[in-house]
Order: sequence, then structure tokens, then C-alpha cells
Amino acid sequence: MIYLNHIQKIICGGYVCRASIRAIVFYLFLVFIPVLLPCLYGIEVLGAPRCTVYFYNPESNVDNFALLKTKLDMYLKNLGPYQFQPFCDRNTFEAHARGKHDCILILSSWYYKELKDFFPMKPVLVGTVDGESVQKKILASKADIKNLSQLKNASIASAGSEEYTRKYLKLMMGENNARLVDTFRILSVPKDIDALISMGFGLVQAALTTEYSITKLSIINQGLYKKLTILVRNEKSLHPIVAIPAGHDAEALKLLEIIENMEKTTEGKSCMQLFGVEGWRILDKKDLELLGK
Amino acid sequence: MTMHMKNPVKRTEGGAHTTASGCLLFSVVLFALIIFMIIPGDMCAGENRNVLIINSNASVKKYSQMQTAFKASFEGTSDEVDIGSKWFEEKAVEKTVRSTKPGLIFCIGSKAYVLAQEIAKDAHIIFSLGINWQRFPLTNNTYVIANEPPPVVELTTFRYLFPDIRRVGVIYSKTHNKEWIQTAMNEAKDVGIEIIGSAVKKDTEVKTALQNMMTKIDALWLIPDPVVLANAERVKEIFTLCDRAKKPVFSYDRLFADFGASLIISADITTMGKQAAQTAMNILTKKDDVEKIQNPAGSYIALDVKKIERYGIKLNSKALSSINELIE
Repeated sequence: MIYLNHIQKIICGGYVCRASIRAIVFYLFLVFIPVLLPCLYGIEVLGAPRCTVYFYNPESNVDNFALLKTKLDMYLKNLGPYQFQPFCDRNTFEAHARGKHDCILILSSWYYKELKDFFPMKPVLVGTVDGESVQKKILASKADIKNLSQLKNASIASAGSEEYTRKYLKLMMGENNARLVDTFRILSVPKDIDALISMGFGLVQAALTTEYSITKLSIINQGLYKKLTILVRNEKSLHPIVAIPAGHDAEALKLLEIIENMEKTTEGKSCMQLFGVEGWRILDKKDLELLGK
Repeated sequence: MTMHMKNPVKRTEGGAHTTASGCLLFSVVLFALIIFMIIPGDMCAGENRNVLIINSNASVKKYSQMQTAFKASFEGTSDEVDIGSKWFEEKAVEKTVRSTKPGLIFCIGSKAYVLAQEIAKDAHIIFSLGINWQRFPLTNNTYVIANEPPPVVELTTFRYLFPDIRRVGVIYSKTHNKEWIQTAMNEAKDVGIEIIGSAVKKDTEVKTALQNMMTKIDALWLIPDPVVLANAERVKEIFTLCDRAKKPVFSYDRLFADFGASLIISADITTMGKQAAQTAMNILTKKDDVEKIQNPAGSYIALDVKKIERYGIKLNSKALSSINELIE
């Protein structure tokens, strides 16, 4: 009371003014709402995102995370309390996403297979390009390299992370060539087209790329295309997949529906193109087999 | 046998001596084996895997980005010197070179290369991020990672992003870009693009040259030419004329985004850092096929999609995942 009287004196210049006390209490209450409410009921009361799309794709090195974050956040915010969080590092992603139930995951299909045994989740959708869910991966080399043994100690360009490239090459080339893969030096480049061009310049001896990029190169640069030969082809790789964590909450299901319907709007479609797919469809039996389910 | 019988003490001493020698020999062999197992095979030949990184100015973002990417990928050890710092002393760097005896010097920027040339003439040097590296003297031990992607990379990217673009205009001065335009014209044929070149002697001729080619081109390719890009006014004039004619301008530096460039293709610094690290390893492990002059392995692409749509230019939507940045 003594303290309030003191405030009254300060505010009213020494005159007692009960109306001022009420005003001060009222304004203090207003000021404390933003601080107290989140403490009592959680950060959601301020309109913070309730559910997150986590994205990690070690099959691409394009540093476009700022662009992805801006575009996807803008798209999702218009549809609800959602946000997008891309990751460029496996450990950071796993430390962040593990044990979360208020999220959905967009992952490279290769990485999903790496993760599925110790990260409980269910794959639901697969990305499509030209209506196809499967992409063909190719190990191409300079035309003078005729067989795999000539690649000993070679430099290989790839648009994926080093871990992905080594493991995928071992899968593609078979157990017999695992030691050969260990002798490779991997040059991670941002895009498939960079990998092919690096090979064209003689900077590397081979490139891990996709059939789409090779076909595109044959159309746009015949000179470069003629300099390469295809050593190994793998037809069993899916485009990125969408998974939902075990024990997910109701909001995650709503977000999954939003992701599934992205291609129905122009904004959604342009967002999807940024991570290399044109549409999503529900995984069928063949897709699930490829994912080892 | 007789000797043994005669002098059992001597026999015992000799036996102890033999056992001790055997133990010593065994220990030496074991130690050598352990060392052999610990040290990777390609290091056994006595290679020096220490690199000295000389940075022209670590406060410049792209220079520090290059250094970070190099260190993250390099498999040996490194010492670092920032010669952009105000406390820098040339003698201290010389001393570092003498004491650390690096197997290779990695120079970031031209200033670093000039210094490395002065203090360690015979050392293996990798020279990166040097603007117009051709103007610097190169020795047999110099390896260059060029700063700019070669014309063929840009031309391939033009076609990859815009399948319908076939005629690209280039304004240039013969003094600075005579050879470059010839290379670009030859490489463009492989990509199915026709380069319509126009040479100027003075910057005042740029406007007329551009107006004359405008109806014949699908896009203008702005190249680093000091005569054409003489000042900001001239640059503004080029962009205004192209915008009026709805012709996109393709360029090489993020700086031109503010003027209205539709597409910017530059070298990706992080990839160049990794490339330099791999080149360093190849030199230090004495791989014989190390290219002396290397083009940058990765590209950074910034695109103004809205402007491209406004100009009515067809964009390959599948290439959008290759875009690093949208200009808005």
C-alpha cells in the first residue's frame, strides 16, 4: 500500500488519485499478457506454429535453404499454424526431429531407408516427376573409361553428400566393388548438371547423376554428351517421400493433407518444384517394396 | 655342447643375451607393425600434408567462406595467415613458411598469391578467387582454380533453364574480350545458341549497339567488360533499354540483381573450397593428373521468375530445384 501511495504521488504529483491506480494496474496487466500467457498455456497462444514440416535431402547439395524456408513458410502460414524447417546436416536433423510428434517429414528415399529402423515413422506419400515415382540413377564416366576397374583412385562428382554418394555407389556397384568405392575421392557439387560438366572438363573421372540429367544434356549440349559413357544404371530409386512420425498428433494429419494437396494450387506447385518434385501420390505396394517395407 | 658343459655360467649369460636381443627385435618389429597399421598407406612415403592458407582478407565474406570450405574438406593439417589484417607483417609470414615448411600454399585472392610468389617461389601454390587470374605470372608449381565459370557452363545453363532461348546478344570491347567472344561463339554452337556479338570501342557506343541488336536477340548476356560497364549510368541504361524491349539480361554477379538482371550465374564458393582441398590432396599425394588450370566445379544460380514470366519466356520448371536464390 505504501508502495502504491508512492506511485500515486509520483504520477499525480503528490495528490492521491485512485483512478490512476486503476489505470496503472490495467496497463500493467496489458503489458504482462504477452509474457504471462505463453508461460501459463505455452507459446501457441501467440500464434506460433503448432506443426512443422522437416526436410532433409542428402541427394541434393543445392544451397537453397533460405529460398525454401521463405517460400514454404509463406505458403504454409496462409493455411494454418505451420512452418517449414529444412536441414543441410544429418546429425542436426536427427537431433532436432527425433521424438517429435507435431511434425511431418519430407526425406530423400535413400535416407528414409537409413533411418527407418531407429526412427519410428510411416511413409505415406512419394514425389512424382512426369507421373513417375521412380528415378534412374546413373554412374557415368569419361568415354575412355570402359570398365569399373579403371576407376581405381578416381575422383567422382556427385550432387549428393559424401556419405550418400559412397553408400549409394556401393549399392549400385555391388559388394564386390565395395573396396573400389573406398578408393574414390568424392567431389560434392551443387547440381547434377555441375557433376556432368565437371566430368566434361576432366576435373573428375566419373559422375553419379540421374537419367533425366543425361537426357537433358543430350538435348542441350551434344559435345559434352558425346564425351561420356554410362557405366552403371540403377532403376530402383524413389523420389523424395513424405513420412509421418509414430504417435503423431492430430495437427500432423492436417498438415499431411495440406502437403498432399500442394499441387492443386499454383503457389503449392511452385513450392514443390523447388525440392524437385511435381506432385505427390500415396505409396503403392511396389514403392513400399523399394523402401524395404 | 662341450663348451656348454665346460662353462655353464657363460652359457647362461649367452642365453640371456640371446633372449634379450630376441625381445628387442620382437619389440621393434611389433612397433613398426603398429605404426604401419596406424598410418594410412599413402602417407608412408613421407608426404608432407601440411598446408599454409594465405587469405587476402578474411573479413571479405567470400574469402572466409572459401577458407572454411577448404578446411572442412582437407584431410591434412593447415596453418592460416590473414594478410588483410592491419597487424599483418610480411616477415612473420616468411617465418611461418620457414618454420612450418608447408607442402603447399593455398592462396585466397590475388594479394595472397602475389605474396606467396615473393616469399616461396618454389612451393606448390593453389591460387583461387583471383579476379582475372590471367594477368598474374604462373610457374610450373602454380595451380589455378578460376573464378568465373567458362562460357560453356553459362550457355548450358541458359538452355537448361530456358529451352526456347536461341539467340543471345553480347556487347564487348576487342581490347578486353576478343578471345573470350571467339571461344564463346564456338562453344555456343554445341549448345544450339547463336551469339550475336557487337564490338564497341567506347562506352558511349553501347546504347546504339544495343538498340541495333535488340530485335535480333532473345536475351542479353552481360559479361565483365570494363568498356561496356564503364559506370553505373551506362549499366542503368542497358537495363532500362532491355526492360523496355522485354529482353532478359543474364549476368555474372549478384550486384546486377539490383539493376534488374533476370538471371545470374556465378561460381559456387563452397564447391570451389572443396575442389581446392581435393586438388591439394592430389598434389600432395603426387597424383600425376592434376589439372593446372581448373574451372570452378559448381555454379550458383539466382533467378527472377516473375520477370521471366512477365517477359513471356518459357522456363523449364524441372530446373527450379537447381536455383539457389529467387530475385524478388
